[in-house]
Amino acid sequence: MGGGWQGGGWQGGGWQGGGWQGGGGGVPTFAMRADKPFADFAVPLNDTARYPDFPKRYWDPDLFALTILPEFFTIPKTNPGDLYPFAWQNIILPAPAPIIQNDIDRLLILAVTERPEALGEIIQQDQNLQLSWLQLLMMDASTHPCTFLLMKLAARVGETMMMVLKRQFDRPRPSQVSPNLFPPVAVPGHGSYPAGHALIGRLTSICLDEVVPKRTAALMELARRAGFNRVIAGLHYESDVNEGFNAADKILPLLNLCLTYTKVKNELVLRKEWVVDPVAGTNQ
Amino acid sequence: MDKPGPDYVRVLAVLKRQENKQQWLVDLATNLVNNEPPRVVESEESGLPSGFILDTSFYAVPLGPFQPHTLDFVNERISLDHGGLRVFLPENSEYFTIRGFVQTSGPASIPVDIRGKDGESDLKLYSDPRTGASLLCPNDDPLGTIDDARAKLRVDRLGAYGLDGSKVAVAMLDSGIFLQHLNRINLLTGAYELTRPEPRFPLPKRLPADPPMLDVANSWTPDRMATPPGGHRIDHGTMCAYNVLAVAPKATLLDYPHLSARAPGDHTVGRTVGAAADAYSKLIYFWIHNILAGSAAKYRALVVNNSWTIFHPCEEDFPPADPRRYIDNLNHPFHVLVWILSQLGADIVFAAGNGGLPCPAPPFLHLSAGSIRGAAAYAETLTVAGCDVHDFRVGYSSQGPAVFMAPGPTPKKPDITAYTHYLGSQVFGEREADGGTSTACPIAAGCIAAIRTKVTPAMVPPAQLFDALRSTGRQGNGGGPGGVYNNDYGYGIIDPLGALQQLGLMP
Repeated sequence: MGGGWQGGGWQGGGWQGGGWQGGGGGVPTFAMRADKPFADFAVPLNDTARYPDFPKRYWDPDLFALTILPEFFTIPKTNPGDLYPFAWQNIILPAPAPIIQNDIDRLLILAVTERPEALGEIIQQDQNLQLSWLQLLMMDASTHPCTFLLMKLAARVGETMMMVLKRQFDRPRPSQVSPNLFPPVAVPGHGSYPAGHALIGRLTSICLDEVVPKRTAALMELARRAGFNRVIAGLHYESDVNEGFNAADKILPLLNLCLTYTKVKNELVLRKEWVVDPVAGTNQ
Repeated sequence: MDKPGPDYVRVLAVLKRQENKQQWLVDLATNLVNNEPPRVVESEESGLPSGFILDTSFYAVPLGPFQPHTLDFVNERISLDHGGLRVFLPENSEYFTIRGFVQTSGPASIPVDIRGKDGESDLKLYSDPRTGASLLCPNDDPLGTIDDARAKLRVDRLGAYGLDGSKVAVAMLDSGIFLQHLNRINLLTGAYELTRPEPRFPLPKRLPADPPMLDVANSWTPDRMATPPGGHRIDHGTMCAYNVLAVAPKATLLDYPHLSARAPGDHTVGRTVGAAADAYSKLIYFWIHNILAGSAAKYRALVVNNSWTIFHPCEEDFPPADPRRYIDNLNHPFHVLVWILSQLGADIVFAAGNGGLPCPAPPFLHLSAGSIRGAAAYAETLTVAGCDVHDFRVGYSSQGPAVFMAPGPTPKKPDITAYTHYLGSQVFGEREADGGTSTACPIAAGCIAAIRTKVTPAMVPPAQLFDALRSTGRQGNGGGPGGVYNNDYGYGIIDPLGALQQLGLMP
């Protein structure tokens, strides 16, 4: 969901066709001839004072984003009246309603009427959800590195929360109930409720809405569309998507309490990633 | 607006305007007919009950002095004079339909009504189910061509009598029209289209003195829709428009793409009966002003083509026998709008649906019993089944009896049959049929538009014209005798000349 971690691409997998930097699939090799190895040449050492640490710009955003998880999952409850000690534990979804014939019939109609035309979007968003957001905002990791990292942080928290929530319910997928829904992409290896694409799509949109000016309508529409495409695909009930959105809305305030998240947000402002400069041109 | 939360359900609501208060209702209804964005209505201003969250993207739809559950659809009459018509204008309307969300644990627990503050602004709730085009038909090859259908309908004789649809407006409640496909005038250059392949069955060209093919000023564009009237994506609506003009070549189209509307705040496909209600509201407003213009009126008659349906009861929010339902409930507010427009003299034509046996279209999920539903089962509408050019019913055309309409009586449906499943508009490809009762419906609408060229609703009101069409229906192949009802063909295959003769308007 947030990009493959190890093996999808060169640097932990990516959102842009298997690699972030123009590479295709496969494992890259950095070849060196055996008769004259590079190590044979005398090269002066780098000045450790000039290169005191690992460069931030070389941090793999995917792996860097993992570091927010301990922060997120140790935020104490924000409301004294909450039941559980940690804030994330108090993101509680209602138990899903029993599946009835009506739910399935709606999905069958959507499969017949909407799926053929939605198929392109369904497949693309199944393989690489966040690519749509990069396209919408005309950005990538090189043009807007902090925004990109912010999306990764949201994706990591979103997918972890999503799995935590999904495990509580283990709702069967629609195609388990009605095999003739036959989704056009692989049925994911986890329960139906809440919908992950809806949760992460919505979370991505509301996170970006805090930092990207004046794109609210497009961001929300994209999240809604991505969520509903999963219903058309026969992978989710409408209620899964609704609760995915609901959960995302509850996650964002907690994300804003994480030090790493706010640091990236502040850095994004300092770097003026979304500031319009009428003289120097636009950076949005 | 965004849907307030997952535990909310979209509903239509009817409320009474308190004397000279609630200006926001008038403003929203005016915004709708003026093609303006809906104005902002704060909850303090609306005074609506706290359990109801207003969706202004629906605007507000005036119902005049009528509310659905007390209107006597059979005996009540609208006076067509100035005073009688003014009551439907936004500023004079007593009742309005609005849309919004109510919080509930499930559809079954939605209240029938919500009490307002101090007994004011009580809301009666109704469902706003999804709708869809009734085109999705089996993939059989086309049988015959539009020329065969025109010959069967004797369109040349209609034309010889000057019955060509001149000064008749035909509102296409559909997915939108791509005018360039019909008039071959390039939308960008304004020049006649030379580069694209010539269609096999082009529509007759219009001369400068002829009425325009499309009346943009009196068309409607749903909120949040980017394309303008006549510039919509080529699809179902263009196919239907072609078939109207194939029979009534000088009729003027009104583009009402309600099937492309999207209800915001709800991640559904978005086209709902609510969008059709908006379209009807705009049509009522348009037609009242046409009537009030008297001898200066732009149009003699208004025909409303509805090639859309409800696929399956699962599209409903409410369970059977619920007073808020749409598909089988005569007291849904959409019926009031259909009734008003019919009373104003508009001929409202509906496709029966593609849910018939033995080969119902897939979205009907094999629920063929009672597949004529909702507005297609109102007494005020002419409901059209489909047959091929050899007069055989097409295997998917929805059959009677219609779904039982509470509280009754349920009219006998379909009313009439018209041609479909031939090669015509080529909207979906060079060799693809114009199919479904979606095509039969505009063929019938075209016949009516042709008749209306010389027979105004003041001379022959819609109900009388429909009676004439029913009683002069021709016998279908394998069907019962014409003019007598049967479940497959209704009263038979439409015969516009026969109806004119029966009305004494043609020798």
